[in-house]
Parts: sequence; structure tokens; C-alpha cells
Amino acid sequence: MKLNKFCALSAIALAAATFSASAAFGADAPKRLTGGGSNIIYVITPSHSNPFFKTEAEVAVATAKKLGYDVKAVSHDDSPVKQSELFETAISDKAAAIICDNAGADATVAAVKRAYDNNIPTFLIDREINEQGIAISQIVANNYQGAKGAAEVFVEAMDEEGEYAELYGLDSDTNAKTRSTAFHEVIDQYPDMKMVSKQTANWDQNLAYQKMETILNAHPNLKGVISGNDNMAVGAAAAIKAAGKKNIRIIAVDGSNDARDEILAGTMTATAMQPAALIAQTAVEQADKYLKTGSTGKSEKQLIDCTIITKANAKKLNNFALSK
Amino acid sequence: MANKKLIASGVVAALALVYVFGSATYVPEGKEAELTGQVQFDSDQVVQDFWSKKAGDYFSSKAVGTATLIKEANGDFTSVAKKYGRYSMGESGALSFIVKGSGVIKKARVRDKGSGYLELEEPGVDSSSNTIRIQIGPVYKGMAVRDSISLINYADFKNQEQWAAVSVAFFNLVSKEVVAPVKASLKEGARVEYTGCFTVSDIDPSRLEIVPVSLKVTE
Repeated sequence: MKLNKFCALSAIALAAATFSASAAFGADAPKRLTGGGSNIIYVITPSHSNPFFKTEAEVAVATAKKLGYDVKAVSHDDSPVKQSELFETAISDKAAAIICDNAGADATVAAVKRAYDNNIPTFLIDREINEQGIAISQIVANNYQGAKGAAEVFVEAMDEEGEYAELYGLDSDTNAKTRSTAFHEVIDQYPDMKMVSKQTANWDQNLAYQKMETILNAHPNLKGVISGNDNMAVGAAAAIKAAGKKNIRIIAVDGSNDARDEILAGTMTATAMQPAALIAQTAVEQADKYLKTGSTGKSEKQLIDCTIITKANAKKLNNFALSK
Repeated sequence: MANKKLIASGVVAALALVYVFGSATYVPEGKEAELTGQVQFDSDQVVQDFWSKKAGDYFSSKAVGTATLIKEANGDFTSVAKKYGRYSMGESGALSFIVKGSGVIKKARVRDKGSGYLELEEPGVDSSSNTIRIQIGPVYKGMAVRDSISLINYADFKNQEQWAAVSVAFFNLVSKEVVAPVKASLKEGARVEYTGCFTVSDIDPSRLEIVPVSLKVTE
């Protein structure tokens, strides 16, 4: 009898297990998420010490407040662990929605999935993740297009020849790789352009200054610098000035006011402006629309183009937006 | 009786096992998308398919005369965006057009490396206000071909890198199938006929850097 009972129970348990498994994997239609229950929108971004993230966070907060939400703005400092904790906090706060500039294309998937499972919709800004169907929107800057455009200006400014150095961003951020790849897709096709040094400066201005000092000492004929972001480019420009060097062409990606001022002063050649303000505002507006109607009316992945900034249009740039 | 019960329980357990393993679906490699719904496109394949099956009709039906476009735009390409153009993000972003025209090569920068171009003298285009350049590679600027086509969309790809690869794949085809066959004849004074795509430049909108999808030397 004992054996019979065991067999019968095993059969039931197995059947139940397969049924629940197929129910979990067979869910095709997207579930409508209605929010955790509170009126709070969480804005989770990298550190505000970078003006790009500061601007996007400020705009997201302002837009959400204008739409009548309570807002909590926090930073994950590019740590997936800290980001995961912040998602947990948002979940226990019963957040209505999460706006997030994430800390890693793969590392973020689990956090967004947890919010999804807790009925909280996530709207990703600036950086994308390597999975679709769990975030409601992924509104990302077209880093590739921006970096490629900046590299095209760089090659022209270098007269297609000469020594240059690269300042590389934070390794864990896919944008570092994307931008570098796009730079090299253009530059590497010019045989007389020679990269003499590639240094990681973690998106950081001070670190870039130090690295640039070393590069300048080792390569006195340096003619150009390609930088993954404006912060590092501004650091490099300061080191170049301090070394008494002139006519070194620098390009970057971001579109900060600091870079704009360098471009107008002639110490930087170009940058690619990512419309941080537009991206943040769009994400919050879509969150609001989704919570009210169950749809953003847009596809999940939305790419926002960068604008190439040179001396010709730099005057129009302010806080990651171009005036008409 | 006990034996019968034992047999009956055995049958139930066996059926359960059949249910478990029999309901598992065998998914052949490369067919995962049909089950998960996550379709991952192969950039080269998507571009090759478009090029061989749709490109000819698509470009010829959408192309507007370059001179007509410049005249109607009257210095502001956004004013004719709805009529002839395509924005990369629906109603904003980079603005691209599919154009056609013909003209005499007044400057030919034909190269094996870097970005080459043909500067054209084209009837109906005032060269003091607009420059017409046909990009002939091997480095092509921008993403004009990909961004001019409404049938291929970013949302269908995993990430920006794959999306960028679509543009690269188009340029590779342009190099191989459009430019290479006529490259030797691209000399100053020759007349060319083209259909191509360009994206309005952020820096100098008066310079049209057209990537050809069809290029013929006519004399």
C-alpha cells in the first residue's frame, strides 16, 4: 500500500510540476502590469557626478512630479549588486513604476524580471538590456551612430593621418564597448591613422587627466584623442593644456555643457550629443500612459539618435538638448 | 488484489512519466525563435534577402529627383520630410531620403582605403548652395541606406551592435555590387546616373553625401 500511495503521489506531483512549468513558459501574451500599489516612481541611475546622469535623473524626477507622482531618485553607482538592492527596495515600497538607467546589459535582467513578477513595470533609459519582453520600454541613445559620426569628424580633422590615443570607459558598461567599436569601425579603415595608446579611465575626468599626462610623455607626436565620454575628454583637454600642447584633436560622446565649452574654445573637435533630457522625459511619459491605459503605444525598443556637435552648432547646445 | 493495485499504480506512474517526457518539445537548433517568440535576425541574411528580393522596386518607387528635392526643401529638408523622407525614430531623429539623378563628375576621389567620393555637377542644382557627393567607399559615412528603408526596424534586433551590423552589411553590398563594377570608369568628366540614399547632415545640411544603391557611367 505504501508503495501504491507513493506511486500515485509521485504521479500527481510530476503532473502538477509539468503543468506549472508549461504554464510559466507558455505565457505568450504580455501581462498588463498595474504597479505595486503606491504612487511612487523610482528613478534609478548611475552616479549624478556625471552631468549626463544628473540631467536625466533631474528631468525624470521633474516630469514624474508634474504628472502627479511621488518620486524617489537613487543611484546604483554602476554596481549590479546595489542596483538589485534598489529594485528590492522599490518592490517593497510597492512602486508604481521604475525608471532605470541600468548597471549592466546582462546583470540587470534578473532585477527587471523581479519587478515584472511583482506587477511593477520598468522603463529603461539610455542603456539597453539583452532581453526583450520584461521591460515595458527600452529607450536608448544610439551610441553606435553617435560614436561613428564623431569618428568621421575626427578622421577629417586629422587629415586622415597621425598618432592618436583612446580613452576607454567603464568595462562593465556596454556603451564603452559600443562606442569604441564604432570609433574603430571608421578609423581603422584609414591606414595612416595609428593608435599608439589605449587606456581605461572609467568615464572619470581626473583619471583621464592622469592617463593623458602619461600618454603625452610617452608619445610627443600625438595628434588626436578619441574618448568614450565627455568627462574623460575634458580631463584629457586639461592635461593637454597643462602640458602646453596645442592642436590635438579630441572627440567624445555625450554632449555635456563642459564639452560644448571646450569645442567653442577650440580645445575639443566634436562630441555626439545624446538627448538625455528627451530620453528621460519620454520614459516617464510612457510610464504614465502605460499605467493609465495598459499600453505605451510604442514598441519596447526605441532608439534615440545622437546629434553631432562641432563648432558649427555647439552654441545651440545646453543641458543635453539643442535649441532650434 | 494487492498485485492488481500495484499494477494499477505502476501504470499511473508510467503514464505520468510519459506525460512529463512526452510533452517536452524537441527544438532543432536555429528554430528556438518559433517557440520563444524571440526572433534573432542575422544581419547579413536580412540585408541579402532585402537586396535580392525587394531593393530594386523599393528604391526606384521611393526615389525623388535630387534637384526636385532640393528645390522643394528650399534650404530646410524637414519641410519635405513627410512627403519624401524618413525619420529614424518615426517623427524625429536622423532624416534620410532616397534620391535619384545624373550629372558630370567634376571631382573624383577614388581610393582603396578611406572614404572616396564623386562630386557632381548636376543640372537643376546650384552648386554654390548645395554640394552633391556620391560616396564610393570603401568607408561610408552615416547609416543612410539602412535608415532609408521602412521595412527593416531596430525593434527586430537584439541590440545596437546588431542594428549597426545591418548598416555595415548594406555598405558591404554597395561596395561589392554597386561601386566595384564601375570603379575603373569613375573619372572626372564622366557622366553618371545614380539612385541612392542620404541622411541630412547635422553639421552641414547643404552637403548631400549620397550612398549609391545603383550607379551607372553613361558616357
